[in-house]
Amino acid sequence: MPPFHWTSNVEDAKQEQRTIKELLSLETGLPPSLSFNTGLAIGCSYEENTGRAFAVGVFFDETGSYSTDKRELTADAEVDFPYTPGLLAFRVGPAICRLLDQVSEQVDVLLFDGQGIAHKRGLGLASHIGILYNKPSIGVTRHHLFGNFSHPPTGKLSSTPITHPQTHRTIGYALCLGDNCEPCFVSAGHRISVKDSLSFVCKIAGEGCFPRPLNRAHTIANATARKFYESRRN
Amino acid sequence: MKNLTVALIGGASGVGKTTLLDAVGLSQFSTGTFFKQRMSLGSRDDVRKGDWSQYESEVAEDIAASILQVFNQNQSAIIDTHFAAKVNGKNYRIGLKRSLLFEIAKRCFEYGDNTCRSIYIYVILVDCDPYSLMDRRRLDKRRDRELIPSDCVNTLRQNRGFSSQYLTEMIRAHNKKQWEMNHKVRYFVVENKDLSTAQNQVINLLQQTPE
Repeated sequence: MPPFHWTSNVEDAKQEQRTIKELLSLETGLPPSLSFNTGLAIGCSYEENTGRAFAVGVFFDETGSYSTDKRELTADAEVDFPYTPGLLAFRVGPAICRLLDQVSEQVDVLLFDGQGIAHKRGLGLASHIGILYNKPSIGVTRHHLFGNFSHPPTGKLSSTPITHPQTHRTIGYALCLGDNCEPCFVSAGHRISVKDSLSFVCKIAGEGCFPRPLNRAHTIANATARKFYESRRN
Repeated sequence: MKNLTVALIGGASGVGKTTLLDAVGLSQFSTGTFFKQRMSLGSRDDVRKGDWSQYESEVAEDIAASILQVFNQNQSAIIDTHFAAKVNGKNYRIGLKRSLLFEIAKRCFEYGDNTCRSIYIYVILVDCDPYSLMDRRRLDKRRDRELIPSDCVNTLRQNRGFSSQYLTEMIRAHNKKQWEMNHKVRYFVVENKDLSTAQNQVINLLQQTPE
């Protein structure tokens, strides 16, 4: 399958985001119970010294448990794109797409370590890749990037809305996954409503302060990038 | 005497025009092939990467000559085209200059008057949703098409927009003078969601030309 084209020009990348945002849908493409067979959590990492992006996919089920019969998937790609806040997709997208080209048909929903619509141009990594594969997708991050929110009260699964600074519409949620956890930030990617994206993450999060399958994918992606760098250095 | 049809079938690259026309089983010619020949290129997909605009007049002449040749065989002329195309792989513009489109239509109507036949010109936009276009571009291994997601949105939009300019020029030629025969111009959109439905739509459209 021929790969998607990714620009290495920052201004072209912003224009690309503005244009494909027209394809964004926040209508939930999962059953009302948000049930699904196979989810894929995607963690990614960019190794600065070698200019290489890494993506790791971890399959998970409705309880958020990793699939035991499917191993993690990894993919990497050489990428020449400068670090620019809000344009993460253009750094790690080629590796993610290389991974998804192998398995997208088997997956019902995508979970990303990145933003969805809680993004300056309304099109973070989760929305961008969700659109390319036209799959329901959700973004979860440890860091707040865009929008106004107040810290959620202490307590497992307590949340507060993140609102758009101009329109004041809810674009995501700050969510505490445990009593002693800092909030993580959930936003709808594509083909899922803002509210359903929160319910979905609550449903699959498991124990810990960050959704379990995503945490695993992120950890493996970072380790893979580090290992790659060390292998090149030696 | 049998009436004659010219169908200008256009749409975004990858929307499925050629597949559709092959499935319909009608003989056709492609403006992309004329450009490829005039520009001495190896592939139709290379046309949009270069500056094809300087070959437009010759290609318009090729198209008009081919239509009249097909008419002489008592057949309908089916033209596979793009209503919008990139020049040098960058900005979109109309697939052929408006003045050239007007000339082609005028020559068709003149042919009709000279041979006492009514000419039916159909401008048919083949359309689909951007996701389908993206999929088709990805899965079609026979062609070398760009896989820029935003381009799938833009090219559909541009083809929709410029198809109306094709129609305008056909109507302008139709209204230019009081033709002796009862020539007609029509515009249709065929949604290429699935091939067999779109195929039937095209066949039905082309059968609308009364004897």
